[in-house]
Amino acid sequence: MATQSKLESAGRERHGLDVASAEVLAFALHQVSVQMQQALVRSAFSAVVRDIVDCASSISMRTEAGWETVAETAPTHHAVGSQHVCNFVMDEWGAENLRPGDVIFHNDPWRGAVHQSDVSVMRGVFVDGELMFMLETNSHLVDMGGPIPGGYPTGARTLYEESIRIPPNLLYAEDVPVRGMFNLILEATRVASLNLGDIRALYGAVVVGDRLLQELCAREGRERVRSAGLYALDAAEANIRAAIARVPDGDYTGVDYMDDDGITAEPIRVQATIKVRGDSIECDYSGSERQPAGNSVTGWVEASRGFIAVKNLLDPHSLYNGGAMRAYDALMPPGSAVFALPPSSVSDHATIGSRTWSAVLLALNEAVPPETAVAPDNGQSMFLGLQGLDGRPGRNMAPFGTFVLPGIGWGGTSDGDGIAFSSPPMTGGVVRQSVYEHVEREAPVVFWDHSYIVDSGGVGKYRGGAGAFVTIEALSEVEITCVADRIRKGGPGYGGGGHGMAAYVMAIETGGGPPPPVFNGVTAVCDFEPVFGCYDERGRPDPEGALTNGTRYDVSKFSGLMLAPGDALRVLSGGGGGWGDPLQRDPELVLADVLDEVVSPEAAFSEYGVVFAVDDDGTVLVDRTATESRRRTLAEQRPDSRDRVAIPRPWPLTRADMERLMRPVARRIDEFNANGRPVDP
Amino acid sequence: MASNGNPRGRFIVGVDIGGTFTDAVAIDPRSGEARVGKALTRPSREEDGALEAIADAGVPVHEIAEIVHGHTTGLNAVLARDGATVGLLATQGYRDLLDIGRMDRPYEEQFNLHWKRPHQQRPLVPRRLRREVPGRLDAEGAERLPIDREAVRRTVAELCAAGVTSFAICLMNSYLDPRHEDEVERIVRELAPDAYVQTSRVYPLAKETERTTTVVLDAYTGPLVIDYLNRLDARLSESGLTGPVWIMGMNGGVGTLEHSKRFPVTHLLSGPVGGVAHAVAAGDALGADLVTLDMGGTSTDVAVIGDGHPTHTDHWPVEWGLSLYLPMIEINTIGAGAGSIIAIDDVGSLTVGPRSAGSVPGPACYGRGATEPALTDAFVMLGLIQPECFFGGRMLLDAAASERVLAPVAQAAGVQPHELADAAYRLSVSHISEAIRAISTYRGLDVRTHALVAGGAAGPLVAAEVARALSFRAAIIPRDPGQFSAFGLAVADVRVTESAAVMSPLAVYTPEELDGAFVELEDAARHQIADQGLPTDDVRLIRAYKGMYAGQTWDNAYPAPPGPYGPETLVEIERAFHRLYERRSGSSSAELPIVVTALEVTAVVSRGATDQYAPDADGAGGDGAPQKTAPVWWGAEARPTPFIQRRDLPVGVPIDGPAVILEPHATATVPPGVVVQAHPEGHLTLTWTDRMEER
Repeated sequence: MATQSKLESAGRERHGLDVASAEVLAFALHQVSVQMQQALVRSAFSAVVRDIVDCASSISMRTEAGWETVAETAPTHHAVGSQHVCNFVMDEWGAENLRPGDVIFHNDPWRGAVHQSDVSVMRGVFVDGELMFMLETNSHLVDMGGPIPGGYPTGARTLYEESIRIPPNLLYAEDVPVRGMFNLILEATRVASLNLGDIRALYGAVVVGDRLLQELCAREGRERVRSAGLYALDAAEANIRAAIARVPDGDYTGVDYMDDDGITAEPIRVQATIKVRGDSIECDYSGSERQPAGNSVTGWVEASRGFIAVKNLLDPHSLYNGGAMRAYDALMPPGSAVFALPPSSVSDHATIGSRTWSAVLLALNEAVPPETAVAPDNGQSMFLGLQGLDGRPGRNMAPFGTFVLPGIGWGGTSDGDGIAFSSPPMTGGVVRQSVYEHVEREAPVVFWDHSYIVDSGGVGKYRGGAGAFVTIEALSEVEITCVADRIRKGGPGYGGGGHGMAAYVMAIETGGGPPPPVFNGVTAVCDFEPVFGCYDERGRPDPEGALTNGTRYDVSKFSGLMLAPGDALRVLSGGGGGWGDPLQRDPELVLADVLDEVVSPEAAFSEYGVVFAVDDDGTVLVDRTATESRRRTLAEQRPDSRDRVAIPRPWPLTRADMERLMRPVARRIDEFNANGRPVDP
Repeated sequence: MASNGNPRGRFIVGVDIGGTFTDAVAIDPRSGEARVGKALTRPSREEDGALEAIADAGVPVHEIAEIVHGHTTGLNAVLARDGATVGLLATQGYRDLLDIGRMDRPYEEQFNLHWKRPHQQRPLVPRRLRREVPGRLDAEGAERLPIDREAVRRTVAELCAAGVTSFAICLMNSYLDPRHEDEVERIVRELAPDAYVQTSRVYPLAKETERTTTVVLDAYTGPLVIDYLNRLDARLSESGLTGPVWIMGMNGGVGTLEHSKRFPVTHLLSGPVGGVAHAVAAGDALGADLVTLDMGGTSTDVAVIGDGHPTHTDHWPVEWGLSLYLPMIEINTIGAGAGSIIAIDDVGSLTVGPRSAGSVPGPACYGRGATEPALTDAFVMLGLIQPECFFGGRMLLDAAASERVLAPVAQAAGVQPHELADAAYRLSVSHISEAIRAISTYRGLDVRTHALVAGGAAGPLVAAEVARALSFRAAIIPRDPGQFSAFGLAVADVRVTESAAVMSPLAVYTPEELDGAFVELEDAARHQIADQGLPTDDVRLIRAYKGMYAGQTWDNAYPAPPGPYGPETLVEIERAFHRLYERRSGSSSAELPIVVTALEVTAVVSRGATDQYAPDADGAGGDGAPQKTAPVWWGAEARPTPFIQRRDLPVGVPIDGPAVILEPHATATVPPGVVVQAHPEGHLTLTWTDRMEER
């Protein structure tokens, strides 16, 4: 009896390979991209590559469809972005003009680079004289020149106002460095030694990839390796199609906003309608705002980012490559927030990118069961670029450049609280934090802290991940660039959960001593000066307040802020959205959060309806009866908590308020029970 | 013999406590006799299991000269979260490093929004017991703020009141200067004299998160591990042991029981290291560079040994974000074992592992009702494992059950059951080969000069195919491969590592200064050896340094030549750096300064315990007559294949494959084109002359 195998029902073949060879060789191709990425990260010089892992490695193969990415290790660089780069560049360059050992360099967003700071290095792999693969590595260089260091030039409206743009050009000719190109790159940029080191690492990684692919083809035969590439593409396609087929057909719409474009304080709308038809998805971004003046993006990069959300919710674990994109079409109105037209500057791309992602996530949340749905994260990297000349004794004013990422809170899920201290999902969450003990040696800064912010996770049955704060003091003059967002409200909740805390930046003076007292991210109003964020008229952070109450900026993206020695900047990254009704949260989990100073006793009462008692030996317990009564009252007052925005309350005005805040929890609860707590009827 | 063992004892005993079984191997170095024993591991009473395994080997405790022990007590406490109640004292602002865990996540989880960072979900130290210490050293080690002693006293008192019995102290930039940590430690010891205390002294190198994690792991497991070692010591003494007990460390060497109590985290997981120690001994005896392959039921460990030394690493993620940061043997572990489940996913892709059948239900052929095929079922289906020859004939396998569970998966794949079994076999060989490539060829190592030594119950089943796929010059099957680790423990050297954080350009050293810095470490290492009551006249000293280009932070370990140094030594060190770097990274930067991040000296003292590769060791041999001949699928063809008991192999006579070699706890395959030969030293070699042919 003829039976149909799963392979046949999935509609694909093994391209002449037996079952074991297909898997073995597809896996081997993937391993080569992993090895390229490891070589790149481990030999890079800048913190942005070696620690933050803002880089990618991929193998594209020549197929009937052009260049298809058969293997990729590219978490922060947006699923299959390399495929766009390969096709853009090779269409123009021409395969016949590439020789073995030639390496092409470019950083042009209009040929697929994410922004002008992301440089791309490409090398052909010739097997028996035939150009069979293109290897691409790319990474964010710490500086690519122009008026604003660091590659996030807030305020630039066109590409001519920002860093240099280099169209595809030979970096190595038959493995000999092209002096002119190196001179051009290194002399037009600020931190030449870091750039040179990183460019060599990018080059080394494609050399490693070439070597490994040559070995693979010699060992297994060129045609078998080609078949495995085709098989890998089909497998990725089959996996995503099977996942999409499980979602009911329909149109699902998600809307999210970027707070500002760094130029004006107007919010920018991003709308995505996900049309599920059988085993395919069309993502229609119609309804999105027109292209803003700053913070623009290219359509091809955003198409990939929307796809990341599809992977996130529907098929998070299978290997992906260019084949997965065959099941996904994006309709992107040219000239819109998701598809800028030249000559826009697209360097400040990261925030709008998180919105093209979250709009798709919110749409898909409507299509999947609650246990799969996830509350959004705080939707921005809270990226800080630090540059300048090192004025410490003995440092000879050497140029330095480094990045700081405090990490944000992710949204709650059906199986637990959102995690804290992570880069946004749009980056794959694989961004690694720098080693402060290293950075303090390399740059004239002191990192005073990196810790949780109390009451910053969106309330929910499973709360959002907490936001984080970092305080950076300058020891000599430091120029700061900051890219943030979600400064009105933090990430939205799901299923009745609340918003996370919004993002803030504050200026602080140390006067050479320690920074003023801080308690889980909270500092008395008398001890800081608002840089941006929503504050009330007395200067307390407050989501009901205004963006203009004493702040230096009414937008959340700035560059060119100078810190003098002894000045410090504190960034508060904000929290993820909550999942489900906070009144259903296990009171014991709320107690644990209170003892751990992640949630305050006041918020436990006002947001979670949990009341505590303190027994004679000072142990804090849940008062079950009072809690039940309090929760009934709250349930009558509000149908759910979707409009609640997390913020530490009451925010202290004076050092005396701070001292009260910093007393042991049991004493605070005692006093709250005695004085502050409204009595339920 | 370098050890001060019981002169009346005959046996050197290795005891390896694994998750399911405790293995004991007793070797009589004079006669070469070896006895093996097995017992069930007894959770929280591991010492009982150890004594039972020794008894099972038929060795009276009073006849034991010395015991070498590998255990996983510390790791088990971490995994089960039943370690000590730890209070962490961190620099003001830094109490959350354990939760931050460098912020990242595994690549495999990059799209999974439900993934939780292990320490946030299940903390070793809950935030309420992570407390901050005002005080700060700067990046040069100078004091920016003094320690606020009153605040520390208050905090320590509060932690004691909260039930803390173990303190972890890790402060910012303390790798440059321990004075702040020392100050805090003095206060803790004064206020909590009975508490366990650990500081950055465990491994004082830069990287605040990893260092904190390591100090905390020590404080979390230390009290339990010390308690276990005391119980074991007492039980062995009661039973009549007068010789020493050595503990295997993750650095591949043993230390005395007392020495091992100083930094218990250095033997958090020491069992698998035994297998590597085994290979080190084998490499010495056979004069070969080796790669080890230790394949058990759920996972496979691989490691590289060159010039008699295993490669080292200083990072091992116990869980994601909880990295142990110590010099240790690099072991690459993958989830492919004899119990790995064979499956076809929804879209027709074949997978083997990482899910495992475990011991319950086990593979279908065990007859315990498994519904999914495991790799062992594939071995049975192919005929490599004959139902009546398994486990020395003590357990009859159900071959029909194997075929029954393979059939539906084969049908889904569109192939015959024996083809599926062959594909699963090849896929697992490929996974293991990739794991070996990751720590060898991908690092620029040419394995054609190496031999693959295969242990574990399943290692010898795949050894020939893995070795041929990677072009090793031979595969070696040691004696009693089923007791690979326990054997290794018995023969392991004493090994101590001394390191110093440096962070200075290589060019600032004169040859004499660099040599002097190494000599200082060598003296310290010798001192540690003497501390353990061992003679220091026969110490082998190995110099190494960790280096990178100025501006980098990922350093690599590089060998350094023995002293004394002249100007040409520094030139050669530099040249070797650029060369090795280029091999690994595809490019180098010869014009940039090399920064030395750490100097390291490892002192090795041979315990002279035994040489299991001695020519007279059990090498009796036989006439090579097969126990039976049965058809085995070798690729597309079923060929009649002889099954020969290992003890019946004639010594020194090559036998052509195909063949299968049987022994009580392992089975070795000799595919067509491969030649097996038994050696007088007791091991088997598998060699081939052709390129790997298409199976």
